[in-house]
Amino acid sequence: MTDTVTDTVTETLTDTVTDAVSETRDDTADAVADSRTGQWREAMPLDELWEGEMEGVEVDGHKILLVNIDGEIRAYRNRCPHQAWELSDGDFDGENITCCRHLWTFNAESGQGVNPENCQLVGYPCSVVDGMIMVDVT
Amino acid sequence: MSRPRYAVVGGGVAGAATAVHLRKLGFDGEIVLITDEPVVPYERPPLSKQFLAGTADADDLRVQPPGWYADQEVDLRLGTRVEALDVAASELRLSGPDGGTGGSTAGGTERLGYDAVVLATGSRPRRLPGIDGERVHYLRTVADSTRLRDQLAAADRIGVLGAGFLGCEVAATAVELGKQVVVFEPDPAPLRRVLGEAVSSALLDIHREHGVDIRAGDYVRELTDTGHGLLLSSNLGGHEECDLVAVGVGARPNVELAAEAGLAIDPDSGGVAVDEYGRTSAPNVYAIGDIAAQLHPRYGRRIRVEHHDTALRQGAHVAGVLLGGTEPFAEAHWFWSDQYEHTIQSVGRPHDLSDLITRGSGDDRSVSAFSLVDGHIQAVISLDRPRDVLDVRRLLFTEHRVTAEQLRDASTPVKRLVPRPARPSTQGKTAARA
Repeated sequence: MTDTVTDTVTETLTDTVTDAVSETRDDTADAVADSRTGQWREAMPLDELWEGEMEGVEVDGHKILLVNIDGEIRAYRNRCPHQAWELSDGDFDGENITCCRHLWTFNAESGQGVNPENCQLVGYPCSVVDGMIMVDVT
Repeated sequence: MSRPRYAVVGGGVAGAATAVHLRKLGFDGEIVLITDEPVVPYERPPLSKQFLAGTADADDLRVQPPGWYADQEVDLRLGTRVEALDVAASELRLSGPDGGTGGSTAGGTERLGYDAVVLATGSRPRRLPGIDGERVHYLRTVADSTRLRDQLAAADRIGVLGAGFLGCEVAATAVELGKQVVVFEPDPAPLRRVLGEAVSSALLDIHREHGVDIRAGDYVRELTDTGHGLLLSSNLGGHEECDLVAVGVGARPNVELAAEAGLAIDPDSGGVAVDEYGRTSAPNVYAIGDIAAQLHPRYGRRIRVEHHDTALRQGAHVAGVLLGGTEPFAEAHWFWSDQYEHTIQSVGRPHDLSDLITRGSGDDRSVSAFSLVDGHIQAVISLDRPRDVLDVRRLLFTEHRVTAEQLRDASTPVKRLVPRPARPSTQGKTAARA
């Protein structure tokens, strides 16, 4: 799955690329997941992320929020777009992710802001391979 | 038949949320949003924090980008006052830049008919008699905060009257900008009557550690402009020279428009009396935000709340009601205040602030104070324990039973004190956890 050639090139560019991804706020995790050019990394065994739960992990220096929505996994940058607090300290009710700091709320499936609406979580492509949650951290 | 016209009076978050949610819910009639401020609706919380510190600018405060209103066909009337509400004629009388245009005119004002009107006129700072002048600041609008920010840049020594949310936040911002700050507060600790002893004592320590000189139990009796500064004379006989003074001693709801129109006022809170749907005593007239004394089905009485989150939620809620929604407003009351790197949060309504159960420790800057009645959590007030607040927010209006001992024991998360709700899970995953 990992493209080693791209790896060596993107290694130094990781920060820049991540920033570029964060600019494209309309990108859904799905859309990004279709591009298979990135650095896929093991994030967490699926068994350890219960349905209806979320967990913060660190993958290659990236703080990532993993969410299990009824078996569907999503990965987001683990920071609220409001004031950058870690979303893993917040709440996931099975549908929405709520930041503990000022109660900003996001749809877990799309990352789209629910309250307020004009914001969007930064998504990472992710998939499950042999019971392991893989995240593309480029 | 013409399109229905819904008018919203007030450009704070409550009014803006009403307009936003009307469109979101598919309302395709006219929306007229009237604000006496010259700028598009904006968020006020940063005015005493990031905006004052210069880390956020006016653009960052906007609820919606300026183009949103035209895109969504929201007729935004800036700098426009609503002089009168005529409930018999279902009309507003407007004056200001837009007055005299658009609708039928009379005497330089515009009469604007409505099918429904939402009053979200907010509140204004309570002013202290004799405490006024060029270098005295009452904070409410972005213009107020801009003026304070500009003067702050050249000031060395700041006086703050009142250690409420606003006073505390201004003090924290100013001291972080390198200013000397002296705060006068008649109570023994900041926000004692809102947060209770444990959190307010910790907050007092936090401010003092950051170098804020808090004069608890003292207040300013007299302010004299000496020409080169302000001389504050306190009740306990102290004299302090300051370059400027910020006053935060509470707010008054802007209910005049409603009262003059004959709408019922809640005598206890001074707010516009509304039911659980935001309806006032007049047909098709609603009130939300700081001015609304709203009947809350969970408490069985009218409650007026001056917090951002409630204003926002009432705005969204009343939009639903206008479009036929039948759900009462039954949300928990939640608020926060950010000071330095700390966050104070609360959810619910404490039964008795002198009878709270604490978890964690104020000295460790991690403390929650719970109001517990008959095994049922009424409220939590937290310093840097946001998890407790989220957990209580989920529990608050549900059936649960916890003990004081359980709440004191910080080793078990609050949400684990009640049975875990069953959720569908594959056998494999359940087994892996078991």
